[in-house]
Amino acid sequence: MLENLIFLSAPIAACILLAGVLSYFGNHILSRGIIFIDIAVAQIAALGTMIGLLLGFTQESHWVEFSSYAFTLIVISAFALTKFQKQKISQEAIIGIIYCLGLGIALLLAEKIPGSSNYITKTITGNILWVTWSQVFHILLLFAPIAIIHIIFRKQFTKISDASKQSKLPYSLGRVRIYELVFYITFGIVIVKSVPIAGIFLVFILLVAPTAAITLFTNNWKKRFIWSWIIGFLGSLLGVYSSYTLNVSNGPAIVCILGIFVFVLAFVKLFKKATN
Amino acid sequence: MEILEFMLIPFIACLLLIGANVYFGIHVIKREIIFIDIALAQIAALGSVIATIIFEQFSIAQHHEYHGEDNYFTFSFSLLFCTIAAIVFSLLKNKKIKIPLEALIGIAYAVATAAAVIFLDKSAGGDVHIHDMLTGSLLWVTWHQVVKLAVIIGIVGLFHFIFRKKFFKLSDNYYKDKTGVKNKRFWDFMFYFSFGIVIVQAVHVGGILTVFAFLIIPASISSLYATKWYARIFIGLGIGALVTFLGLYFSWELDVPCSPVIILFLGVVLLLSLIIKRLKKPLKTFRK
Amino acid sequence: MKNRNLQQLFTATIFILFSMNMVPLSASGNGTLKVVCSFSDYASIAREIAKDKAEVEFIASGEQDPHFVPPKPSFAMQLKDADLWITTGLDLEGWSTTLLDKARNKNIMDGAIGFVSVSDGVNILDKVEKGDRTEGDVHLMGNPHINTGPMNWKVIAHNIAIGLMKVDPDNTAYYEKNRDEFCHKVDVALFGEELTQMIGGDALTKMLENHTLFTFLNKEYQGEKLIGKLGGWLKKAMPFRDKKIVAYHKNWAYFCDTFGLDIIGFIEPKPGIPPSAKHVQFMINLIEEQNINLMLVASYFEKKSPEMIEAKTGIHALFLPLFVNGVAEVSNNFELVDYWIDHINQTIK
Repeated sequence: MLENLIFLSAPIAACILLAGVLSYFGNHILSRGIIFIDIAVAQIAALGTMIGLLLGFTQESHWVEFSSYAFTLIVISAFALTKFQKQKISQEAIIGIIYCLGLGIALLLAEKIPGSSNYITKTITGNILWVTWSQVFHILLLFAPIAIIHIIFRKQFTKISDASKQSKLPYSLGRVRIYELVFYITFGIVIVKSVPIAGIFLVFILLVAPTAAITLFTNNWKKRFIWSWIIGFLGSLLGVYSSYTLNVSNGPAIVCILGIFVFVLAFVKLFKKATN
Repeated sequence: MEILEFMLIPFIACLLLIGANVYFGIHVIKREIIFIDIALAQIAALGSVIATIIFEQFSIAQHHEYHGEDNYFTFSFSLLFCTIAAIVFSLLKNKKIKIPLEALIGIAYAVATAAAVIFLDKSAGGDVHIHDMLTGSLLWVTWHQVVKLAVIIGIVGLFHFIFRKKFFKLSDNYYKDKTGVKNKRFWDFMFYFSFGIVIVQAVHVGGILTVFAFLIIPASISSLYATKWYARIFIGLGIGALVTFLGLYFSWELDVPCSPVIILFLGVVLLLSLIIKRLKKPLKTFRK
Repeated sequence: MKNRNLQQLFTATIFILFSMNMVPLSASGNGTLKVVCSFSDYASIAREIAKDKAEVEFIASGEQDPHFVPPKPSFAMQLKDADLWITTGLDLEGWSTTLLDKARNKNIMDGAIGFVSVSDGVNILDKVEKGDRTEGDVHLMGNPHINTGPMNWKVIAHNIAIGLMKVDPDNTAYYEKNRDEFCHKVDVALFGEELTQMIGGDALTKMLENHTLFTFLNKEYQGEKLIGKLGGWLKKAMPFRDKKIVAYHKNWAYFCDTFGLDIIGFIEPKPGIPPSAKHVQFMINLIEEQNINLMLVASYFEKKSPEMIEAKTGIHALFLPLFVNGVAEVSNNFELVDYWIDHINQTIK
């Protein structure tokens, strides 16, 4: 038993960190209704990696990683600037378009690069079980300043997220766009860092499911932040445990547990007699 | 003449796909459930995976190619799963559920993918490379498949035409309390169900990515130019046809799979449309 | 609206442009056969047998994942006027069925004389017993990565030669001669010139297949052990014979069987499915307990996961091209095996 815990210690630490950061962002994402943004970002990041490889850098070099980040941040900044008071095309639709164009270009470029199928969203797998303490440490280093930024601007971000369903902006358009820029750039960095470690589906579910679960029951931001972190972390733990005992693939196990949990809660809410 | 013979069937297939998807795309954008088709396609795929496994248990002979085989058993399972999904989604669009439906659709998508992986892991045979469903095999589509697609779209299309007023109202007023439609949940279910049927066959022919692009992009472009339903469908179809033509031609010339090329052209048209719109505005004020 | 007119004009222009630029029908050569293979390895062997009597092409590039090859229009055109289609014949080239369907070339469909299944007669490893599904294997008919075992090349060459002789019976003697020369070349490469002369390639191959070769070589002949006369790859591979390693996926079975590497575990036995926690822990323990320091990874896999495993366990991940042309300096099968053995020797120290 002790042996297992030692083996799982780094992955569990990674899960705590990722569950925390992702569930935090997830709350905002849910309120803004741009659910699939992380899948789009992951594909754009993959495309950025491909561009780096095409420019001649070797797979292991830092330049390729840099190109991935750079490309992602450029695209996501452009996206941040597409926020208008009245959206002709909704932001989720824009995300959809970015995703499918990104995937389309990746498929065309794929011919030129060996191992091309690895840059296509469905196959961006990762396995958090192989994570090492040094990687966990790196994640912490990267996420800490982002956390600080978000603590400083928490009021502004929550206000914009709350307002996204109405046509009225809480600040001037220019000011909103600057906040959006900061928000999405930090978000992009988090996603680009997390996906190679955890895989696209695990990142997605940690982003969406815990917050969906808690937002069914409350709209209070503080409660949502705390509970979504807890749910995300517990779900991951349970997933790893069942992956172990049932001998199933790890990421999918966590996804199924968290996902089904949300649906169960949704149906419970649906059939509850009266709202208390 | 070789290229024409080669491209004719794919071209017709594309026209059918665009026609159906532009219409549904407008609905989907209004309801803000953009990723529904990816979710439904994946859920249907899960259905066929499970069907294949069950089928295998009962078969003695060793088959070794399952994907791509149009098996009635797997097809009905896909349909069954789509139906269940349709029921779930129409039930969960409810005042009591305070999270956007898109979130539930997204979670359903992730779970369906994960479940498919787990089932495939536990079974024997069966290729896990689900991403050959991504771009589909538009260039290899056969008359048989095109006819099947046409029939399905025809039936569903007729159904939607007869009840068009209901469906228009439902989507236009999706986020209002009063939709003006009696038995809202039933018609909602019929929407998802009929949509699911079309998607399953469309994805078989064109692949998930192509169908998704056809769903979102022409409808988005049309929203820049018109607000009325018929006008938007028309514009979407026109653009779609042109882009398909160009896309098929260039995929042949450059020797690349055709779906990404078509998608790229759609993107280009969207960009051009946005730029034209931007330019029009200052021009207008200039004229005044 | 202005846009509609623009669209119409555009359409008309394109139509005129492209009808002026019709794709000409490809003329097949001056009596040379057109041979299309699924993989570059088979193409390399085919070239040695057909030499200038055929134009040999292949579809999957050397650094691609053999399980999945995205179809391009040109592939179907290549197949359309091919005389021979050379494929593994097990369930590896699932992607080829749609290509063959579209090409509509009756001569190369399964069962026709132009269809060559190179695995016929190869000693297939990892066959799944009927009814036994507990392993959940992807490849039900056994391990299809036969190109990694040089002994298999001789069988492949036989099958290709038969195919050539069926479609071009006039040159039978030519193909037979080239095939025999090729097989001899493989024997010499495997066992060394001396041993092949003494005992004969066929006998040696049989013994290698039955795993009785080294017991045989430990016998004495004229005062010294036969093993002293061993040359070629088998000699080169002696430093790592009987060593234990792990592999990322089951690509290397035939190579390891021939050269004595003992693969005791796979990281990702099913392509695309990440392993479970149990399996990961099992592998980590295995690697540590048995002191494994080499992991073979085909170069078409992405590097991130193997690198993570390296970091976690200290094992060395060796990325090797699975096929000819997978790396620039490997242009035929012999160079491929040289590459593999050299690199393994370098890493396993």
